[in-house]
Formats: sequence, C-alpha cells, structure tokens
Amino acid sequence: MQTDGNPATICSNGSGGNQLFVTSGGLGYVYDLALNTLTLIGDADFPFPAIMGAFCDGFFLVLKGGTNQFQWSALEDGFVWDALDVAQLSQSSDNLQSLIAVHGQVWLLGTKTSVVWADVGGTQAFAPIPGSLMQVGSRAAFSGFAIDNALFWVGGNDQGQAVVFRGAGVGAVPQRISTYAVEFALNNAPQLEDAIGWGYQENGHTFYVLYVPSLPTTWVFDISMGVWHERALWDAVRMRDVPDLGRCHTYCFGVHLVGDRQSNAVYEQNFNFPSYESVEMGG
Amino acid sequence: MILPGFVGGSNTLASPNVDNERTLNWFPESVEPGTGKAPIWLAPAPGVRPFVVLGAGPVRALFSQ
Repeated sequence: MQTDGNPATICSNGSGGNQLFVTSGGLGYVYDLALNTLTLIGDADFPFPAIMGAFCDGFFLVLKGGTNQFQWSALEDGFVWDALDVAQLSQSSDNLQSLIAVHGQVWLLGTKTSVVWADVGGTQAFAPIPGSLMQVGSRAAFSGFAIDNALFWVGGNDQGQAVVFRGAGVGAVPQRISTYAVEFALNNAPQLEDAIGWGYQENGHTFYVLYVPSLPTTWVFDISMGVWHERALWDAVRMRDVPDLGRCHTYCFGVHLVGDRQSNAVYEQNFNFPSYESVEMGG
Repeated sequence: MILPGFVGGSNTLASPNVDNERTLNWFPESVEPGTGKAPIWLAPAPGVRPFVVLGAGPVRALFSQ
C-alpha cells in the first residue's frame, strides 16, 4: 500500500456493499469484506491525490488534495467513480484540508473557513447546507476527529491559529475548548500542521487526544470533565518527555487498541495497566 | 492533608509565575454523587500492553467493523 507521512483513513459501507474504502499515500483502495481482497482503485476518474475519505448516505467521499473539491463514488461501490460526481466549494476561496462525516452530514474544513454539506438526493447528490459557513478553518488536516456527537479540530484562519474547537452544530459558532495554556503550547510547536486527533471513551470519560509530533507531550481533552491534561513517556536516554505512544485507536474484541506513532506495534490500552509501565515494541 | 486547588488539569501559561500547573499521566475525575472524601481526585492515565506487531510502522489507522 502506498504510504506518506499522513495517516490513512478507513471507512465502510457495511452490508450495503461489504467494502472498506481506504485512502493512503494519495491513492484509494477497496477492501472487499466478502472476498478478503485489497484492490487499488483503478478507475481513471478517481482523484489524485486522495487525502482522506468518508462514508455518507451510501456514498464514499474523497477529498482531492490541493483543491477545494471532493468527489463521491457510485452508490455502495467504491470501485466506481465518475468525474462528474464532484463538488467544488464556492462559498469561500480557500482550499480544503479535511472532510469528515458527522451526523450524516459532511463537514468540510478549509484553511480559512468551514462549511457543512448534506446529501440532497438527485443527480447533484451533495450540496451545502444554507447558513453553515463558519469563519474558521483547520490548521492541521488530520486533527479533525468526530467523537461525543461532535467534531473536534485544531482551528486556524487568516487571523491566527491553534485554537481547538468543538463543532456546535450546523449554523452555530464553533465552541472554543482549548485554554490559553493549550493554545500557548500549540502556538509554540515547531510544526502544527502534522497534528493528529483521535479519541475514545473509557470508564465514562470521553477523550479527544491531540498528538503533535514536535511537542514533548500529548495533549488530551477530557470531554466529560472539560479539562485538559498531558500524557507522555520518559526518555531516559535523552532525559526528557516524549509523546504518548498512540496515534490512532479502535475499540474491538472488547479492548481498546492503539497504534504506535513510530513503530509497527498495536497495543491494548487499559486504565488497569500502569501508564509508567508502558512499553515500546515493534520496529 | 487538604491542598485546595491541587487537583486539576494542565495549565502552564506563558508566564509560569502566574500558573505552571502540569497534570501528566493523570486526569481529574469528579466524585459522583458527591458523598466521597473529596469532590475530585486524580485518576491515572491508561497504560498499554503489546497486542500485535504489524508488517511496517508507524500504524497509520485502525478500524473495526
């Protein structure tokens, strides 16, 4: 599978097509759940580079990098793409950073603004929801993560950056959830564009986790408590903090699984495991 | 020992003389329904154990169906 420095994205059309749609390294793939086969999407109309994908109303959606366009697949079929099934944002002029499906709607975060689209049916399929344009975009494409029935992301526009937002619904002003301390830390990160947001819920606490590779700690927002804390490991050789191991997550087999930010290891994460005994494995 | 304001989140401001709190690998949890010995405490952040090693790293996405 083609790779780059960005996360891959995976989404499913469930029993509608028994497919997983994967974006990785600018390319798109379909994993057939019935045949257990992974196939590169060869349709000439599939956009390049494919930055990230999502699933909404039976369609796979894909964001085309370096543009303000996104495209959708044939109904329940990630192998079939039509160059005419494309949307170009006209409410604003900035390029798109992120495309995330939340509540059956498509949140499109640009560099300066954001807007929410929805499936309107017919040949047009997707169209902007009137009044949904927000005057804040995203500073880090993969910081966006949907959890707790909302979208969280690291914001930015032509006035500044590094405020973490919670989408407050269509037509509502996004809610600032970062504190001055968090914003001070993020603003002083040597690089913020490669921040990765992920999240999970355990023991009633719902966490939005923000991994910024150039910062010494991982910042975590406890949505349930409305409080930020940090997570880190101690590098005994360099005598300094390094970010927590995780950079992606899923809940499966009754356990929380997290993927290592630098190695090929997947870990089981649990409150009953002492955090200071966390180990690094893989290579 | 009662230390008012000891339990909280990270809040390291641009001026550490004003506030230099760090909560590292712990997070505050309120005590429900409020009948405990304190209104809030610090719970430990989770740790990890090896689960599986994949072909190549880093791990760039996880998904469950």
